[in-house]
Amino acid sequence: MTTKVLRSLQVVKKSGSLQCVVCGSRRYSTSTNAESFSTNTSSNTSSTSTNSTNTSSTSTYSRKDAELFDIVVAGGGMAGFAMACSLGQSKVLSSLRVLVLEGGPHTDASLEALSAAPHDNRVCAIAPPSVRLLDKLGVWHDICGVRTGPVKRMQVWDSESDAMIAFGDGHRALAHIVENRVTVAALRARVPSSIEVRYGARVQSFDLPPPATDGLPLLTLRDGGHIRARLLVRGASVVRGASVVRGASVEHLEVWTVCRGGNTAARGTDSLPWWQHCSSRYGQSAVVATLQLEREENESNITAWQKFLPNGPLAILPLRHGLSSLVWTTAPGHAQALLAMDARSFADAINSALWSNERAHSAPWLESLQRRGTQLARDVGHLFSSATAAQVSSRLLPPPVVGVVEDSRASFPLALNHAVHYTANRVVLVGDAAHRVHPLAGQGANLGFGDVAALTTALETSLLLGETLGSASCLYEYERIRQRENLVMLAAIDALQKLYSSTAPPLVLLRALGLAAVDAIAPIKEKIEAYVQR
Amino acid sequence: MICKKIMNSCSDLISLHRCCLKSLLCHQSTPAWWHVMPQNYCTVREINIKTETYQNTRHKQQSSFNDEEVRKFGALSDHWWARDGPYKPLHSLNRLRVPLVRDGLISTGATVSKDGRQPLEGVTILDVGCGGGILSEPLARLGASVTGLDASHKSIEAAQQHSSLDADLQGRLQYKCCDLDTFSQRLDQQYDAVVASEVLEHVDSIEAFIESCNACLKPSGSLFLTTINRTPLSFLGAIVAAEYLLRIVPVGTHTWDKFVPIEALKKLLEERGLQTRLQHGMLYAPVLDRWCWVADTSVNYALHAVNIADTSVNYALHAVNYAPESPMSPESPTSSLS
Ligand SMILES: Cc1cc2nc3c(=O)[nH]c(=O)nc-3n(C[C@H](O)[C@H](O)[C@H](O)COP(=O)(O)OP(=O)(O)OC[C@H]3O[C@@H](n4cnc5c(N)ncnc54)[C@H](O)[C@@H]3O)c2cc1C
Ligand SMILES: C[S@@+](CC[C@H](N)C(=O)[O-])C[C@H]1O[C@@H](n2cnc3c(N)ncnc32)[C@H](O)[C@@H]1O
Repeated sequence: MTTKVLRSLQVVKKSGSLQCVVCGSRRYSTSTNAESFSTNTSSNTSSTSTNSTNTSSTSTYSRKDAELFDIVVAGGGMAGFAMACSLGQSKVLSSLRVLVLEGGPHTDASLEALSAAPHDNRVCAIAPPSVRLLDKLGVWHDICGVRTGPVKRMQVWDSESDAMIAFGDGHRALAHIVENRVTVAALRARVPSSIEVRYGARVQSFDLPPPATDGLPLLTLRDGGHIRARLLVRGASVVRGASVVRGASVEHLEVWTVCRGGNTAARGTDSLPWWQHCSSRYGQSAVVATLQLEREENESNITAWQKFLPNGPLAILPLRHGLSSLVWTTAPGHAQALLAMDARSFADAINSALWSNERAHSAPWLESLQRRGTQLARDVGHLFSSATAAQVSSRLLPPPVVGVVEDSRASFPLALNHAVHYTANRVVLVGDAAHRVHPLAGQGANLGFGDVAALTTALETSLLLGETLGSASCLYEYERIRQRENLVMLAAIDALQKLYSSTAPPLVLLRALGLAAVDAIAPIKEKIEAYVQR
Repeated sequence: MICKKIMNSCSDLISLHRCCLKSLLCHQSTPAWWHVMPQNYCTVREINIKTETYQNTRHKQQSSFNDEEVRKFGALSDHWWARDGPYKPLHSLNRLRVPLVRDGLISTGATVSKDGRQPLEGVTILDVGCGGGILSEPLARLGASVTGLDASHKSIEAAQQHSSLDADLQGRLQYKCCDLDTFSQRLDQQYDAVVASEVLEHVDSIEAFIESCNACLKPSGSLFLTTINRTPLSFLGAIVAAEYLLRIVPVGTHTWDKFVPIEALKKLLEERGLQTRLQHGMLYAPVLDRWCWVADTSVNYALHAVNIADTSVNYALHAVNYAPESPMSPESPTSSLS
């Protein structure tokens, strides 16, 4: 094993000054746990460069035994398979030789089998723009054939004040709750047969050509195989690139951290301004579960509920009548406790969190200020519409949770990650590999689908301009378009997260009035709805 | 420090281009702005003289080939493919001219299939004055079989060297080192399209050049030209700004009196049975390194003309002129195809 790994340690000398040290995969080889990758870069580089001097010095990029593909998609998650589908179905791109590498095992669950199986606990709210993309790929119809939980109403409120906001008229779907595995399976089924998909093909390391050179990325798989790609599309955030190009940094491509509690390693980014930070930790975990709700006759389950608690938001997303999915963001310790509880107390914990009126600060002056502010917002709202007071949303209470589906509880650490650059020479990031956001706005997968649509368009445009595949200008164009979009969303989600994680009265007042204003003033609310629907 | 630099470049500008300035001031065809200066009361007739004198002076030499101009490019042949080098604007110009040629050929029906990655499959193109092949390569990648022609040995070598790096180009792209006049006299095939991008402003006799281009063209073949207009604005934009102030291209790249007035060019084309189908202005934003289509043709412009064998046919396409929503909008090259 070690010798094989050592053989893959190579030094590439390019034009004198540009020396590229390709670190081998040894230090990463036995680990499957993402956290343990977070070692220090500088020691990492120096130790491997000493290693590499004793090993062979043939050029990595001239490896002849490696298979060559036009595009290799590393990571077959939602973003990866959407990319494959989109490439395979594009008139311009379908003649390219594409390979998908998925590290996980092959799951031959057919769509029929999935529709008979119980609901999975990993779900995403799929927003209208993503529905449009999936529809274009012919996948949306298949997903609907399995099952989706349409969200036709949404209520968001705050544990620290009476403020609340509601969206949706109860007829049009604001989003659809879909199990991740259904989305992946449906996408997989629509990947044209011209595209090869390999399961159990874990990428161990990849070597990137230095900027502005003609080399091709070389992937090393866990089974020792090598693959070269004219363009590498990375849709897997946990692939740790083992390449460090000295003098011209590609480290920024690595989304280094998976944060859990205090375990951050945002190396070399301390001096960067906040928007360039590769990552920040929330010190929060998300607990997911499938919940049984009290069934109310002739009342369908179409409302998504989200309550901001001091530790993080608690969301209940409709799956079908009497069944919803829980995403509860909270402190890691509390998350552990929630997982350890028996089903009965778990349901009670959710109910009391949803129904309780307990507040961290409840001063009479605060409440009267809030009341007056809210009234003022409603008065202003009337100026814009002839609405009567009755049209201002009235607060509803979610149906009580009566139980939790067995074995459906799990928890995930949360982080904000954003790659400073989405592209380097012949490599491009899509989906969570480029950005990870807090689930409070249900946008993670949606941003990934946006990436897929934008990258497809950029590649098509570029090929029809006669450029080479993965030309720098094409990738740069993609990065420009997506960062403009994603950064706004990232910043907004992060700001919301920060605003709501405090119980300080001024902040509580601010957000209460903010919510009241948005809820009462129709033009603002319509703008927001339109932005989400866009 | 900065002051000194500016002073230096100013004196550079004056000394280097003293002859140019002189020729500008004493030129027979005084530029239009000269006439509107207060000391000079011009008439419309005087401005019109410009195009006539232009034709008269050019008539004397009958070769399109200018040795000095060609040597200028040969000397810089190592830089053709440096993305940030002196030819940077030519690289970014591909975003406009590749769609111009591609969609132009699709619209004249020269192509067989327009779906897929290679819409120009089966089309033969002659790229006159191809230089390092900045435009020839993308056209070949779109499926066309391209012959790149340049009078400079060094440029052709650079072009061949670069094209050998891309396996996709093999068998689709060949280069020939020859000047256009000689090439057109020993022609072994005619082409569906002739492209001469940014070449016209470097040749001696525009007429001889156009004639030779026409000789290489099949009946109802397409001629695509991009060049620089001869207007006061083009002096300021293409010489003062681009060469001296912003230093986008090397000093001496262009000579103003070689620039080609669009109306004269169109007339010249018409006389030879080449009907102008489309004309576009092009504008360069140096900081962004981006080109965009504009209606105004007073600095850079592009023309698509079609060879009509039978000139008596009253061509309906005559009316087609600048159309802002033309299919060759660089933003949506795909939309026009799908
Ligand atoms: C609790 C929670 C709730 C969420 N709710 C929402 C929501 O409501 N709406 C929404 O839009 N988003 C939501 N998200 C975010 C969403 O789940 C992610 O954004 C989405 O799953 C990202 O998909 P992806 O394909 O980019 O990455 P992933 O799903 O991480 O896919 C990566 C794939 O790559 C594979 N892989 C990894 N390493 C390797 C390797 N070395 N070699 C080969 N293959 C490899 C993995 O097996 C995996 O299949 C939520 C996330 C969480 C944690
Ligand atoms: C500005 S360059 C244009 C390069 C290329 N068309 C492009 O846009 O990338 C002009 C080129 O035209 C060539 N040239 C000028 N007159 C020519 C002639 N009569 N025959 C062939 N080539 C000529 C020069 O050698 C030079 O390389």
